[in-house]
Amino acid sequence: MESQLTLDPNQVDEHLIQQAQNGDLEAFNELVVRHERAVYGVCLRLLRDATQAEDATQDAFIRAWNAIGSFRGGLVRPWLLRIATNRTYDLLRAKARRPAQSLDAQPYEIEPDWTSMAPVTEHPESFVERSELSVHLERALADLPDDQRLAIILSDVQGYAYDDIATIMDVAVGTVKSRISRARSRLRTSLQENPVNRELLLRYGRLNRESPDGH
Amino acid sequence: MQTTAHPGDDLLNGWIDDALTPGERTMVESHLEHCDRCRTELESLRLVKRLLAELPEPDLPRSFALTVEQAKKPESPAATVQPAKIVTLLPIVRALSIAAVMAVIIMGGALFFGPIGDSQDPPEMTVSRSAVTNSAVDASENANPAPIAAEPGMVIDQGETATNSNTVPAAMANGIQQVNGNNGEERSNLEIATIATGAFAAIAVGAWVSLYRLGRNVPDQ
Repeated sequence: MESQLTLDPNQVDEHLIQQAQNGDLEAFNELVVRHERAVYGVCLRLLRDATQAEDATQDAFIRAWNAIGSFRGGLVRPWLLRIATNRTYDLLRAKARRPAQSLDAQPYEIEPDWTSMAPVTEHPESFVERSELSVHLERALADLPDDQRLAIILSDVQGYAYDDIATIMDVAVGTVKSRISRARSRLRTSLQENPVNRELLLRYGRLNRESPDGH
Repeated sequence: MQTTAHPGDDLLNGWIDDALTPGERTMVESHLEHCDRCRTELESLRLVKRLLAELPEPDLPRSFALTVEQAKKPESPAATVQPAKIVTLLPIVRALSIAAVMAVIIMGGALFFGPIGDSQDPPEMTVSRSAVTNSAVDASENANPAPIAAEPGMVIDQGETATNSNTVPAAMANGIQQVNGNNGEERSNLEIATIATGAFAAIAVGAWVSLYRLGRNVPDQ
């Protein structure tokens, strides 16, 4: 597999999915390893329930394996995310039908774990700011309507373009655009509502002003 | 350039995501040049985007790689519908096939033992029609393996007893020609009937074989 290190990740995916389409479960499981974090992350942030997110993720991969013949080229991760979010939406709808359970079902708090990401290139102060802010950001995300939450997660957390998000969510690009805009504005507003967070955001902004943002 | 109205969050977010039309883009940019308020607004939205991009993926509770057991189940709704359909159609397919086999046996018997003259023509018609029916059934539907395996055998057995030979339908044709060889007109009629019966028998056997294979393959997929 050393030669694959030099390959474009999408080419590796393409190769693996071809093998999986020929019934190679090991190749499919390599795809699982490559994409499970992203799929689980989206499911968890949508469902706010670790057990349900786990079930939805496993179910999505089983569905993907059973439907592997219907994969018609393109990128693998959006295809997987589409399967996973369809499943997740079913669960969200079922959840909405029985709101009585919301008493014992406390929204799952995602505690951002920064240990795996060494802040070598980052200003130490900025790192502290970012860590603090992200806890609040995860909470603010949880308060968004489902559609806006999924759109902003796919766009800003996963880094997808509007076109891809429209495909994953099966809506028009214009809808994606307005959902993202509303979600981002709401997140900004919820961060600024709290004076402590507003201060953190200002400082974080000052510390990162000089660094290019790719735009 | 008119820059009186503030662009609003939709345009600012669109600018951040590089999703504006060239006209919108120019408008936003020329406004930003002299509006501190909108620049601050834009900056805060950009920070949110940046913070979101830097959120770490949650830790995995476990691996989601499929076990052989999980990979084995094709019990998706699409897959379960088909066997159910096959089961409901089985009696029809079975009845049609038994009728076809009976026709072959009767035809074979009639050709061999009976003094066949003009009465051949109607059976010939029936044969070709039911052969068509049978192959249509074969093309569209699957069937259960067990009875299928038995019945092609029946056809061959009957053919053998009738002709005292080993192969159907060629042997059947030979036998018939030996018995009725002296009547020219009857022979040509007989030949047509025999070929039709032979073809029908071949189609029936072929239908059974393919039904048998399909019946075997469906649950394995």
